[in-house]
Amino acid sequence: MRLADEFFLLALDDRSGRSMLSPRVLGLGLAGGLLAELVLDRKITVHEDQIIVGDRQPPADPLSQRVLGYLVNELTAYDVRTWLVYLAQEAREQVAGRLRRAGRVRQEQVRRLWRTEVVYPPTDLNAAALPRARLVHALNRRLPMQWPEVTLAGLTVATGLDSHLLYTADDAAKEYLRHLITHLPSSVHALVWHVHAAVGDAVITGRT
Amino acid sequence: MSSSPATGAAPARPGSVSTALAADRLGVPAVVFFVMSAATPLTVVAGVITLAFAITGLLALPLAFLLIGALLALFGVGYVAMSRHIANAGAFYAYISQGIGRPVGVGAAWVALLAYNLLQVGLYGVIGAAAAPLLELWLGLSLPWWVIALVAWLIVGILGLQQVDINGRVLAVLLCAEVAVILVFSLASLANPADGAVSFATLDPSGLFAAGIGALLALGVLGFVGFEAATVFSEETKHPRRTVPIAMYTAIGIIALVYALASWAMSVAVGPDEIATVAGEEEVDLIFNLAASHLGGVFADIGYGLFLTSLLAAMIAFHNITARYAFALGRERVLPAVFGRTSARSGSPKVGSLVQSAIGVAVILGYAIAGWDPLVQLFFWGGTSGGLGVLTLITLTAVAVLWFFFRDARGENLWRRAVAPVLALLGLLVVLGLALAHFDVLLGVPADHPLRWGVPTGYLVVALLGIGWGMLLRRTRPQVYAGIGLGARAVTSGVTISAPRTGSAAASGAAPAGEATGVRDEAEAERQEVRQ
Repeated sequence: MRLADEFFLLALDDRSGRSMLSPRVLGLGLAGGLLAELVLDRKITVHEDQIIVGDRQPPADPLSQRVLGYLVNELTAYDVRTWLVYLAQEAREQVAGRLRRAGRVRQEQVRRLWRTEVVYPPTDLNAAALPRARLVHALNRRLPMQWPEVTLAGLTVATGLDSHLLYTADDAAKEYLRHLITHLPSSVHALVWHVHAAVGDAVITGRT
Repeated sequence: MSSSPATGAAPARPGSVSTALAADRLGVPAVVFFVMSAATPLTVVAGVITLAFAITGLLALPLAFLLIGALLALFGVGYVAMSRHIANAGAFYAYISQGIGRPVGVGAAWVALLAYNLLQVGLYGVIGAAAAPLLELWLGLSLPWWVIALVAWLIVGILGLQQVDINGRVLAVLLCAEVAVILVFSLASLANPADGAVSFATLDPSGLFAAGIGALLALGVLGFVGFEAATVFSEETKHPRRTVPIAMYTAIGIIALVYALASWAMSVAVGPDEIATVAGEEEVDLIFNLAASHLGGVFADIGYGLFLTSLLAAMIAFHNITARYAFALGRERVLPAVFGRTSARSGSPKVGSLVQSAIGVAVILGYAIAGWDPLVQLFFWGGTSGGLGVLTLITLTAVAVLWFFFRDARGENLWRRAVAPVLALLGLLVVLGLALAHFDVLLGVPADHPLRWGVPTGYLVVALLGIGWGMLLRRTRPQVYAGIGLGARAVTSGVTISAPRTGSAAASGAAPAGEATGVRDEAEAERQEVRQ
């Protein structure tokens, strides 16, 4: 499963199909996930606040291909923050689309008071809970983790989702997570940091 | 963004990013409404203006609003210019940290927390008076003020945790209705002058030289509090260079004219000689009583209804301002990091919100138990003391703007970086000096009352403690010190995430899979340690 998909499932309230994060924060987390996928595919690097495209060969995944297309075809050199905000706008629909095509979530319309809302309940509750279980297990047991998993964990911290996921974790597990994030390779580390700062600014301006 | 489904390579049109982002950005009206949501005109007109007439006994209030409006517009020139060059541009202490110095910035941040809390908590003192007539009318109920205040507190606390800024459209409608009601009431007052002739006594410039004028100038500033928030959106507006200044000047202009008109009209309807006495007797009911006699009881009831919503909006606005201030400081680690955490579901600064609510309930209960007067001793004193704090912050920010551009012009022209800031600073220093000199008049207490110097001294102590804390951080935690004033972008931002390391990123390339073994080893080593 791709990184943004896992983040989507981590943030998903299984029963309602809604997100546990507010819309803008979820968008920023998913946008970070989409860019992290490209970093992990070795298509781009992040240097301070700039994204550098290193390999223009389209990746196998269509959504990644699309995101890389944005980066390659845009003439203006936008900074990481701008790309995050841009990708965040439709990240929920796009990542949910990828999960739907993989048969992991369904799309439903629910009426809530005076408006309808699109929710994405998982098709298989157990499968949807797996990323969460794996992450919590690894942190609690302090198991070795791969960079994608650490990046994922970093995004949960950046978006504040960790307070939901890790409320049972002990201090040592949190310290372990801190340690792992500190040692992330610089590109994904920078991405996680930018997501965190963008979320913070969204809170400060009250636009979450 | 293109609306085609996410399949295949989607060529982005050049400029499509800026187009897509612009769609989500704020225009002038949105920022104006946001700014005025904290200014809440009817709260000021019904509450502050009437009590100002009653307590200071001075007449030149309309002129004070116009004068302060002009001064703040002048201040706004440099303020907006600097906002384009700094992070966390919505908060005075960010300007002060980055303009004057970080320790002073911490002092300013603490002063701001105190001042905005005073403004917020003060509002609980007036909500009882605003709601009582409606409760009487609809339910035949007569409740003590603190019961109503606690209900309001509960609403504010819950909405604050949900990060509910009242929906922009609802707010816009309410604000327009408030301004319309103020205009209608004022015109009716002007059409029904006391003694049959419209008096221009409150517009006489000689009133500005009356003893105690500093009190009126400070009240003038209180009416504008909230204008500073316009710059919080410098990165979220369609055309930051135009949207933010236009929105700010528009808000300042509307506020100045509406308050000047309303306070003049009130003096005309009651008569300049009587206004202090009548305002003292009728307090916040004054303008509604005037409306009832000029226009009929229905108008007065509509006015009360809007007064109530106006107060709630102001409470929520100031609650959110303090909570977000605390959040930004938590992110910088100037306050404990826990303040920098958000509630996942709502994205609210939950700890800051809870602490503000705790302060609110403590004050309401304290006043209720002590039996202090909610209107004068809570609302008016809280408001004016908060206003003095904000005035101090504005003045310090004016110094910061000047110093910031003195060191580096950053492409701003002479007017924006020097002339306007110097003139604004001189004006602000005069206003601040007068406000301090006449603070007893402002509170309506004798010159030897403990609060007369207690409030200014309180601010000074808080500021000095903040400065001391800032200097301590410089020595003990240089990383935290470096991030002061940067808000969410502070170097130490966050609980576990430090700033990106610079240097090797581009050179090392993206080789996470290869590097992953490194962390395996470290993790393994750590696991060993844990077992031992």
